[in-house]
Amino acid sequence: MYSLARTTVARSSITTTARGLAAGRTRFVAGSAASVHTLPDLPYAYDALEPHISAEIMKLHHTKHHQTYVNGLNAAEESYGKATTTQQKIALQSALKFNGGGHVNHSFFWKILAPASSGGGQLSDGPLKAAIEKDFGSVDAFKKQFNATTAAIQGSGWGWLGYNKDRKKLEIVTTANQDPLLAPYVPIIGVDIWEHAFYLQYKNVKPDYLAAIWNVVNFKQAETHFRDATK
Amino acid sequence: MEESKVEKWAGPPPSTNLAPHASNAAYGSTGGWGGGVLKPGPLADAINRDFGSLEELQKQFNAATIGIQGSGWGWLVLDKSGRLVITTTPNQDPVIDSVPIIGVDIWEHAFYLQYKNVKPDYLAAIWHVINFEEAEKRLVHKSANL
Repeated sequence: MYSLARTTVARSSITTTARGLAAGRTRFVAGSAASVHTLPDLPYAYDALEPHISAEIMKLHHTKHHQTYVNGLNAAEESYGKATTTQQKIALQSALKFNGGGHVNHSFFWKILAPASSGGGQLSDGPLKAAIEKDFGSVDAFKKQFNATTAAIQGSGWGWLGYNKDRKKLEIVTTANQDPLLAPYVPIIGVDIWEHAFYLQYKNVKPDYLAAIWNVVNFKQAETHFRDATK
Repeated sequence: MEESKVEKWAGPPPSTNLAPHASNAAYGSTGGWGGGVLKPGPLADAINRDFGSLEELQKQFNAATIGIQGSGWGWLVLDKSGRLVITTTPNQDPVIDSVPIIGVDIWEHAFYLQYKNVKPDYLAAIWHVINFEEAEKRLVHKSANL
């Protein structure tokens, strides 16, 4: 799933957790017209992706960077709820897009990674592997192209394997800053190439980070995305 | 911000105290390079005229620079009407239609190893090593190509 479910509930005294949302739990605040986004838990320990991604990076990335997007999104949505003019609403668009994209992208990212002990890095035979081989020639050729494309992003951004629903094929796409991957694409795999995602460990050597991360890509989750996209 | 020669820092470690010119002057002069010292002159006059004070410039500059969504640069520029203005550019976009006076790199690689995610600490610290003499030359000559 790749969505933030957000329901407005007025004057509710019910606190509920909506499990299964890619974006984590959504808490309905009593007396408020908006839901409150929360930081989803990591599915694994902070050091579970070592040596490929360090515990230091995972901890900062999750508790500082992602948390900041959650806070920013909540603040922007609260302001948007109070906005009365079109100009005010337009003025809030960039905060909504940036923080909302940051929350969506990072929520997706934690689940698209997995320790080797849980199958991280292992692409078994199945529809996803077959589609990658069909659209890129081989899994290795796909990774090579993905890494080259992602490393070439000018600035901050994300590299994606996306399923193009119009063309019915897998494509490598990039987005800038915290822009999420939108229609006609369904995100299958996403890799954060903001410097905070790798700099403490890999410094400026993006290719080393991109080579390493394939050891912890959660291909089982990726295949779930692919199956959902191609139903 | 251009990097010229980098030498061993000869003053006390930078603090996060934005205010005193006095403490900047104390180690700026013994440091020999003058970083962080804004002496009286055309630049100080223009800053006071357009921002009220150096502190106010720093506050607005830092807020604008922290607000960049992604990678980029914060700039103090001299615009065509002769005013000092704070602006930002994304990624590696240079300043084109005005004269860059001071520039600060806010790409994560510029600070992350030392300051991690805490951009405000980096931005507070960097003012201790801003080359105001170079900035003043750019203002006076209305050019960054000196």
